[in-house]
Amino acid sequence: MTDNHPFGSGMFQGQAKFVDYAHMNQQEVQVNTLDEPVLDTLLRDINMILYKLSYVIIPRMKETQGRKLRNWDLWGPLLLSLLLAMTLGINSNQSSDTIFGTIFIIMWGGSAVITVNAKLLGGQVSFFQSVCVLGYCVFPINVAAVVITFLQSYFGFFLRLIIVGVAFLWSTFSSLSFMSSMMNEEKKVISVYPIFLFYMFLSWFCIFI
Amino acid sequence: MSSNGSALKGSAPPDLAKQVLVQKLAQQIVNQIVSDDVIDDKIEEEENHNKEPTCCQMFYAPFTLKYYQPFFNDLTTKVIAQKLWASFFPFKATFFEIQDGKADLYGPVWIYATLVFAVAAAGNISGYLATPSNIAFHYNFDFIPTASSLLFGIAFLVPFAIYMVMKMLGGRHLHLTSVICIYAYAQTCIIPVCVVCSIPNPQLQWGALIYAMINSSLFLIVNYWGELEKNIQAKKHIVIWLIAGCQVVLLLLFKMYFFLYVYTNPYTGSRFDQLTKIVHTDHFFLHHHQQH
Repeated sequence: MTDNHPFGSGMFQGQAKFVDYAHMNQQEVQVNTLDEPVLDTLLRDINMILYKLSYVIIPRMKETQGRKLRNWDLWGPLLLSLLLAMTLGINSNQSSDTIFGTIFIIMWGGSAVITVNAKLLGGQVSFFQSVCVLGYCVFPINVAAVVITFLQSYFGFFLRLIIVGVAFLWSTFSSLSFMSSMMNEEKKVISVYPIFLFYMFLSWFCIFI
Repeated sequence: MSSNGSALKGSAPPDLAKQVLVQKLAQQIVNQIVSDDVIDDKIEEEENHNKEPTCCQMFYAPFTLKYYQPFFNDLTTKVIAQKLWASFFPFKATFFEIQDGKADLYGPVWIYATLVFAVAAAGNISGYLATPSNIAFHYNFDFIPTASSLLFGIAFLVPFAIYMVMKMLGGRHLHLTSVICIYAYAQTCIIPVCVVCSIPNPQLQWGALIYAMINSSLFLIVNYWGELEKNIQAKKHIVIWLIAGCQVVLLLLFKMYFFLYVYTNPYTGSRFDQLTKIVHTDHFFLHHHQQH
């Protein structure tokens, strides 16, 4: 690659690097995803979301297994937050706009604040990775909200409490395995408590729809 | 250069010599450019370290994450636990001795967030328990935006007012973040008080809120007593009244908005009654009720 080019004879090694675009290997250029059918794109994104959800449903305690979650995307959290806000907004007739707004803001604002908190406390978290994980881990609470909404007449208050309690513990446990591995031993409690509060806030909404 | 020129006139074929010369020149020029750039960057960096931040940089600094880093350094669970524990014992002025009085912003954010949740939840629970069983209860979701505006508003405004007043009256060794920090820890006692206030008994609620008011005001006053005695002396009652007054207003707002509905009507059984199975057997009331 560098043999024929006048500037490529090794004179400049160590001082300046020139990228030889003219001789770039055609196979190194990325496959252009602009021309593929829309269904392919959607299916690929949906597969990615489902794959990440499987990590949430079965919380992995070992850090190495959570590595796949590092390819963050924000589609999953967006869909989950919209679903949660709509499910909880359907039921209560008078303040459905307040609920929708509150849940949306709590979810996105809350994820951002928790991530900033973890970063400032010294954790090596990437901002969007953390927002992604926190968003995906809302999935159990979503399931609980949908179950409660559609089977409302069958459930008394205590059964609701149990279902939401289980969902809350599941969510917290799922995100713990990712978040707590980032922090020092002596700062674990103060970085985990905000996550606990966040999911408690969201679960509380589910009990009282 | 000149020696190369004389060599060119001599033996070697002019094209090859020219090519070699051009390549060597190009090499030297690139070296110069690259090393100049590097040196320039280094000089610029050193200059920037010595220079004062410009007006623009001082303006957008609060929007960067680095600006808040000093308030989260060396913060461990133990330190936060010590500070929270100290806020429940207002008679000992130990708050500024924890970690040498270093202000932290972890406390303010999460104490007020927990408070928003606690107040909204407790307000709704007490409302639910206080309404009679025959009236449907609608969960009031407006408590959350109202509580967060109120609490995050006072989180900044009241410490700012205290800071300004103390500074004007002659206080020294004061930082705004330190006042914000201690004010937030003073509000921690309201969290268990909210849990207690979810029971809709009015006397219990007033009692608990008055305890919260006294605890938080005392905590602030006792911890600032040294500062007040040394530097403000004569006018310290202004600061004391300001602190106590703000706490009274805050807790009155809590009572009047979040814990408004209490169980006062002995005729109709509230849900709280049903939970605790209080049966009204007073014949006078029954008789009075039957007449209508």
